[in-house]
Amino acid sequence: MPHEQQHAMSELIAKGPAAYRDGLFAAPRAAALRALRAHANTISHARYKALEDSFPLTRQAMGGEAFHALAERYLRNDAPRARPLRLIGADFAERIDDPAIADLADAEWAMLEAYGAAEAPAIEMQSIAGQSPEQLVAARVALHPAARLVALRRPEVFAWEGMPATGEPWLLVTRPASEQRVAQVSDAVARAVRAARNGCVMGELFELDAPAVTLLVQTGALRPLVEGV
Amino acid sequence: MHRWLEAVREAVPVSFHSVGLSLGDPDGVDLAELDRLAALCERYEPALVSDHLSWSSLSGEHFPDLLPLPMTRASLDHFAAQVAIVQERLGRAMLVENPSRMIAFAGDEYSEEQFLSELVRRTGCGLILDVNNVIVQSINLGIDAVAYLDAIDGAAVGEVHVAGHAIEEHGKERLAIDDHGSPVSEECWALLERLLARIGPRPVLVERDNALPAFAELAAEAARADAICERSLAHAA
Repeated sequence: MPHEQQHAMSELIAKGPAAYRDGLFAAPRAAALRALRAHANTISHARYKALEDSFPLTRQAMGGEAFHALAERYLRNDAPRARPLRLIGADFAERIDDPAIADLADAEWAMLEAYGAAEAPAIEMQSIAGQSPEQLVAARVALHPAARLVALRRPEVFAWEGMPATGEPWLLVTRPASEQRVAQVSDAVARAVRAARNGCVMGELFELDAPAVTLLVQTGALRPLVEGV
Repeated sequence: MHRWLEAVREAVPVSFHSVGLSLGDPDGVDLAELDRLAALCERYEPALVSDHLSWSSLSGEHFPDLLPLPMTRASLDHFAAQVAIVQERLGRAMLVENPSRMIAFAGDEYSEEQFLSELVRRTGCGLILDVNNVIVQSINLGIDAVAYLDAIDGAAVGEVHVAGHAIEEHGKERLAIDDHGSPVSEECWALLERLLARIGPRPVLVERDNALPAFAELAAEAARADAICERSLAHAA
């Protein structure tokens, strides 16, 4: 049965020559094993390269050897192998022992997610400049699809190029247009982000914390739920 | 990402070449990936949409490679059904690319060109004909590259690919690997000329995404492909 042949081939790719059985391929054993090794190398290299490409700063912080060792252990698990390459590093940060480096990995993953998120207009300062206070309070908004909130394990040491270090416990990543923005933000901002996830009126956010709303607008973390806001 | 793609799409027609549908997965095509591809197609209306005669997932595990299928009736039945699902979802015909097989299963009931021809007949899909993949198979599986290309119905071919390949020497034996990291071989150029002289001009993609050379070298390869297309137009006239 063809499906059995595919299962046997995937087992060979995973386990190597020990799983070889005669009669599966048209080629002699040695030629078949060469081809299978080439496939196995392609697959393992692609998985590792995807992790490297996803976490360049994490790799730099850990050192190449330590990163490679961790990546090898991580890729032995079923969960990353069950994901396509673009999602392979989704829980890589959780496997990093050093909390400061794990924060860096979470930040890199949030940046990747923001980059690949759907496009949407963001509410920016200039777009609400002509609104009356009543209009502003009643405006329906939601979290922008590219906005990501990361809980930092070691906020006091977190550093990101071009971002002022504030020591605040959350990282907010946004991409209102083509440019990504990163800000270390407070619990109040994080509460406002969570409140906006399922849509709300701006007044609800102001009730939570007015300066937090200002920051969300400045970073492009909100989108209008009604055209023209 | 979309900003770049939008700018390109405004300037020229685009061809979407998927590697993620895993049409040969026994559990069926990746429907989530198909939804994403459909959304992209609705947004950009590409001139061509394609994937490969291969499988890249099995029992929930993803394999970032294009793995070979058994060339059997059961395999063809399954693959044709998956192509039909994709075409139904996209509302258009797709192209399927011939693979660069390094190995063939025992018990095959079709040659690859027969398998592809039957797939086209059953589903109405078209083909991407990768000339380098045929050369890779001529080295690895001992097929006749000219006979393979001559057996393909030109009317089914919507796009043509050319590339180079790497060779591993193992004593008297060789393993060709479609590495997308080498210049287009002279054999590949000659076969492209022969193919297009028979079927007429087609969009030709020069595949090179590893070990990229200077841009001038890539541009020269593209210009050579254009010149072959123009000569094939003269043949057709």
